[in-house]
Amino acid sequence: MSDTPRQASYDFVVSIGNVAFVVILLGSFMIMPWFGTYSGWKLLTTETPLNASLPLLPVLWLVPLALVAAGVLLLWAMFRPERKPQAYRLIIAACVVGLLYYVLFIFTLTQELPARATVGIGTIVILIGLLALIWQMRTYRPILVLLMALIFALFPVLWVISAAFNPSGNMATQTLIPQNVQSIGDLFANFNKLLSPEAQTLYPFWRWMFNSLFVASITAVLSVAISALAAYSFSRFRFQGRQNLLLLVLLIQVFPNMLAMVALFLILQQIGKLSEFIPAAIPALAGIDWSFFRAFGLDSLGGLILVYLGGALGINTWLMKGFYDSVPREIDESAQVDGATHWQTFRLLIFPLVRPILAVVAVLAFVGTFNEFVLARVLLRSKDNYTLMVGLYLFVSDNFAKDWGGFAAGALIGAAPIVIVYLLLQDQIVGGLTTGAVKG
Amino acid sequence: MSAQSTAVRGPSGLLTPVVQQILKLLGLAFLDVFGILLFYTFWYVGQWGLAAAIAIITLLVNVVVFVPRLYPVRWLSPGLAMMILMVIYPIIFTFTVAFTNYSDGHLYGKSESIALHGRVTYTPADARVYQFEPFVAKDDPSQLALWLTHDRGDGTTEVLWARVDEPLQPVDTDDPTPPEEFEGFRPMERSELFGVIRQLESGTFGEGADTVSVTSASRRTAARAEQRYVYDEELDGITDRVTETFYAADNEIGSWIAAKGTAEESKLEPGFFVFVGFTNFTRFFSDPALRGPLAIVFGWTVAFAFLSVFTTFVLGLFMALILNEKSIPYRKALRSLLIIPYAIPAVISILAWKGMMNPNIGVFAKTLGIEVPWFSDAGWAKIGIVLINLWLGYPYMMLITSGALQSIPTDIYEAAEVDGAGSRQRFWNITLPLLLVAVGPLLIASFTFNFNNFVVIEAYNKGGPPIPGTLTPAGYTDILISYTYRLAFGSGRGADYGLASAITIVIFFIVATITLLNFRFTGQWEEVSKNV
Repeated sequence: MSDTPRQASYDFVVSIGNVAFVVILLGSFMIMPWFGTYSGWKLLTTETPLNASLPLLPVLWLVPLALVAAGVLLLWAMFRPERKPQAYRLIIAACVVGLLYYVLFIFTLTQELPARATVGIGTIVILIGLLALIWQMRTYRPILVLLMALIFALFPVLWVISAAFNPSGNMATQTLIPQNVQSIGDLFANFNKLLSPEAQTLYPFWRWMFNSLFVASITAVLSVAISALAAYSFSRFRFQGRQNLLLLVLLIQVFPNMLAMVALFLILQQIGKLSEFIPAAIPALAGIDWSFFRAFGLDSLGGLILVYLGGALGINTWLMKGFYDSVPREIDESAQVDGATHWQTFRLLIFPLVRPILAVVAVLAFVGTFNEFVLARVLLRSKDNYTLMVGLYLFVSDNFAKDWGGFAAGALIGAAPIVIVYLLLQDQIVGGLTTGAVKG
Repeated sequence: MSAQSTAVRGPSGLLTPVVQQILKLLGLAFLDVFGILLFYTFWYVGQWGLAAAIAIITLLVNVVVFVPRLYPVRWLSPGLAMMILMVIYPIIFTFTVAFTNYSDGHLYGKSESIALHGRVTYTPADARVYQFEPFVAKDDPSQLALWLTHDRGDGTTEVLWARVDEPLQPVDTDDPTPPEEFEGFRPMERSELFGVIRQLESGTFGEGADTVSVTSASRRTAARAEQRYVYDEELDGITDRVTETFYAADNEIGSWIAAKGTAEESKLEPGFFVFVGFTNFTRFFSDPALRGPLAIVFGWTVAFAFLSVFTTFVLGLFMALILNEKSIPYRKALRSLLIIPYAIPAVISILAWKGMMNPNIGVFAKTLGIEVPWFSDAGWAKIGIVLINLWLGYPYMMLITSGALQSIPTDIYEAAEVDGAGSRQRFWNITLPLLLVAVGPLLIASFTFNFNNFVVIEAYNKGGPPIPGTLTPAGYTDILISYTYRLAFGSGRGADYGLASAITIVIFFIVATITLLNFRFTGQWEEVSKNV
């Protein structure tokens, strides 16, 4: 539509007006008490040096500056011949929202209105403003919607990260930008507290982390090994009942083994008791120390791994069979003509070819096991055996509001590696998703 | 299970076929010995199901190794073994338990229950009284033993050596004075005695029904205890020899009952488990204490699963449509940012949301200025759960719908544009129908997933707020699976594994039916068969 230079410059200026509006809206968010620049705002308006913790004051000036910019643009746009009504409706809206907010804050500071009410009204104003904005600007609609989506998606993440680095460690006083930071060390106060040796007796965080890594890595390696062998069989052999077996393997996983938690609980209980049962059943063998069975019983990491491995033959086998099928059969047939056994064919020919994919499947299995909560919650009973997810869950139910910072620090340590893995492997994950594995 | 890995170790004939064969047989022999050991032990302790599972696995491995035709199955055997033990057997077990009254108070078989009661002892008024001398183990001061003497009245003295959890041992001696040392124990000093009086008086010495308990530590007397509950096979009941009550076995409900039709205390606990047929299932409808909450829980389960799929699909599709616009810059980076909620472990996300939703000091309360009862009000708790699940689940929907969007051929849109269809018409008449065909099966799979989405429910509010006036622990936001969890492992009201298993079976049938229909109507079945 910008066919003339004049038209183009008009559109350009209006878009600057739009940006000003966005700044006003975001700026209004920033003067929320929980944002952490509230005290900075006070400094700005009353000139009383309060507790300005981090140098973020320039950000605050953006709001009034944006207001001024929007006003100037309004005046300019009104006297242009090519003016469009939607352009200045928009800019008027921007000024009104900004002014409202400004007035509200002056009120809060001078009349001592209850801050909560102000903030509540302010939020509603922001939301209405945002909706009005999206309605006005056709071309910017997708970007603004995306912006809202990003806020929805990332605000909780930011909030937890901020809580982790907030020296107060308390939910009531948390602000998005940490307050009272005297040194870099203060930022890590929660981490230090959580990971300190004294805290380990009450909440053995390192122990939980180790347990999670241990269970997840062993399960990942073993289940991929089991699946890789099974997939070779399904891919390379033609035997009777193959089709039914493959269907059975797929179908049986319809029954999530989580549903059988009662049964699994009781089975592991019996396995653990084998250390007492065997000497009772066969007194001749009582001399042997059977207590290693306890490492596979209830409340043991070994038992949990066994349960996870029950689901090894499933959708992963199906995926891997697909990968194997893409390796031409001529390769292994010629090897077998030369006298190679199936084991050699698998180990020396197929395995190196599919190794990268197996690695990806293993990483995904690792992530899935690391995140698993239900079975770990049911089957692990003592604090030292918890996995990270169960540990954090119990940590939180013990003292949530009080040690919110500790939880956030733990959550950050636990989640960061997984998120990184996910983002690195997102293409493979998207590929796998449409094939079947379901979460959410 | 590791038969094939021991079979061929060298890449190029490092091991001769004979050695390979021997190694294979040795590995198998080891496995068989282990399997038989476990089988016998489980059989011995009455775990017939587990014994059968072990037997089947062991047999499977042997058959597979010895029948050449089954060589391909050998590759599957580790996976199959784990599947039989940890998936198939639990399913069968769950089905069996659902038809029993397996629950707190009914955790043992009848013979085990009898044996358990048989170990309870009492000291009758006319019991044989002993004088004792306390002994303590030389190397372990917590181990106590008694040197017991009883004057038979005919000039001879009966001497017994009693330790905890070991049979009473008659000592063949004429001299009843305690020795300086006996089996690694020494007599206790008078000064030491004071510290262990309580331990002496509360403990019993000896094993099973044949025990001795201390009647007075200061006078150093102990009495021979006797079996309190005696089972009578003919009458099929247990007699309490203290109160002289007869508890008849009720094999219908698995309890020992003194006088039928009276109050609770006339039962002898623990009872035993019995098959109760369809009682657990009919209780859903007949038991008013169960019927009410179960209807609420079931309704919410369906509503929750539906709302979860619907909200995540709408938001995910919306975002996919926007990201699909070629004009958006940094689409790849934006997509990465938008799937972050999906990457974070769900438990952590839910707990973080829970913190933000804190009605008093959470960030939402601070922003909105109002206290929303996110956890104490049933309606708000449900809204909160759906909101959190939306956050957790929309990236998945976004990913699958954006994949499907790209597979819709563009010439359809061009044709529609030529025919004058607006963007809205194109969405409703082309995009959505084609999309639903493509992702429909995944939506249904997502429905079944959310049907059992235990994590969200449990981590958010443990199913609360509780429904008042129910006998079983149930909350307004409980779904079937979390209700099952609460029945089995929940609060102090006693575990009811039988009922929990019955509900599990109902869930199983619902999920299986949906999945099978899904498979059938989408032709996934044929796809699998075709590919095989």
